[in-house]
Amino acid sequence: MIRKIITTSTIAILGGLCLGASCQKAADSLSRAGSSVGIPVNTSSGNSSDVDKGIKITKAVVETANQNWNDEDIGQSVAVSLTARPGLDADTKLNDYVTSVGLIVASVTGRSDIDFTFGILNGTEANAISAPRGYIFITRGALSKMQDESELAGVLAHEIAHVVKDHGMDALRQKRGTNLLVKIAATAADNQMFDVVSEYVGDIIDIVYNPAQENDADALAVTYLKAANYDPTGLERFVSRELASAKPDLRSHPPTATRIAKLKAAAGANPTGQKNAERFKSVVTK
Amino acid sequence: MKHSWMPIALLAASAVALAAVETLPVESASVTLRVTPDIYGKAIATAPKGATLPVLERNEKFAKVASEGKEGWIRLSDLKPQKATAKAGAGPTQVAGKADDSAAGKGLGPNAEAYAKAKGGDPKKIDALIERRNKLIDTGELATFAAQGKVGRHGGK
Repeated sequence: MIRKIITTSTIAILGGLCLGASCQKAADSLSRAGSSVGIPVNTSSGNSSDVDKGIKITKAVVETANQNWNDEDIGQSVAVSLTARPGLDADTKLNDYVTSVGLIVASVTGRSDIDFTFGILNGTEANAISAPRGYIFITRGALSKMQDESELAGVLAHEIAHVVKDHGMDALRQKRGTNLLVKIAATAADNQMFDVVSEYVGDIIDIVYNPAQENDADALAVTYLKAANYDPTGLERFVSRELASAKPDLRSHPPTATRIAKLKAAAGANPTGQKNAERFKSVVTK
Repeated sequence: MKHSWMPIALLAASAVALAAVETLPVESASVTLRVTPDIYGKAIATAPKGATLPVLERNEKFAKVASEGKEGWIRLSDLKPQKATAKAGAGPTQVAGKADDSAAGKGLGPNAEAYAKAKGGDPKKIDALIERRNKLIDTGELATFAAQGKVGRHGGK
């Protein structure tokens, strides 16, 4: 789920942290990556007969076309879409660094069943994105605004938390109904499957997490930072600095002051842990 | 005479048990055996590419194998699945693992590949990210990175 870490408008980028006035532009750009076109999707999910019918259709499609989509397929499709727009940064050293920090944080989640994969998106806006089953991206712009490794670890930890809690798929189900995979498979029979998937991809990129999910991700992120021996104030410092000139996002992230207060409280009165500022600066050039 | 069947039955059962232990070659450049089915687990042994390892146990993504006199877990995707080689008169064929296992952790699935073809995007770029991640883990670079920065599950120690 791509979601703004920080937002300035009422339009939030789903799952990432979008900072500054470029948020709307970034949201639009990322949304286009999903290019939601195609057929309307029935969002009603309470009719059991429809569900039964859908399941029957799904089974038939799976048997004949082997098009059984799952949340990992959706996550992968989001990741692939982002390679087209906004595109991936190819800097090997920087990618190794971001991946290493991400894996360090991922290693303390207790979720070795998730193959976390990290990438860097082109663009000057500060943003981070997560997609189902562990695809996590951060923009070059966000990296350029960070001061040390613990801030990077904090932002990645926030995204990792969204994946661990499956917030993206939850948000998608909330918007589209609970029978996402049934709908995809059923639609495959009409050769419109990719249009539906494209809508889902666009949804995930644009999803707005609710404040409870954001609070949840923040709290979990600080827990991960502590477990990985990173300075647990990393996320709070980055968010505080970037939000200082930003307007509160009413739809997604919690009110700024409240959010920062909670992050500080979670970090504790006498935070310890590594910042690794020198290592960060040796790799991340402004 | 009735008792004489017992040892034969036991031998037969043992033979079946032995035959049930599959062996698979290591497909990756080298693999690290870990104490737990977890890519971040403590390393206890290694095995080179091409080494044939007995698979003692498996779950969805990991296989418990033996190497260097030790037992440990590696990713299923590090092992080369035995493909079915149906030949006339050759009897039943054995297929080790699901066909999909070979792709686990190594790249995108067919649905995402098809999506990319239909809607744009470059699956190879995501494959490259996945390969980078696996390389960092498998070569020990990640462990070195953690130790140098004093971070990780055990503070980099």
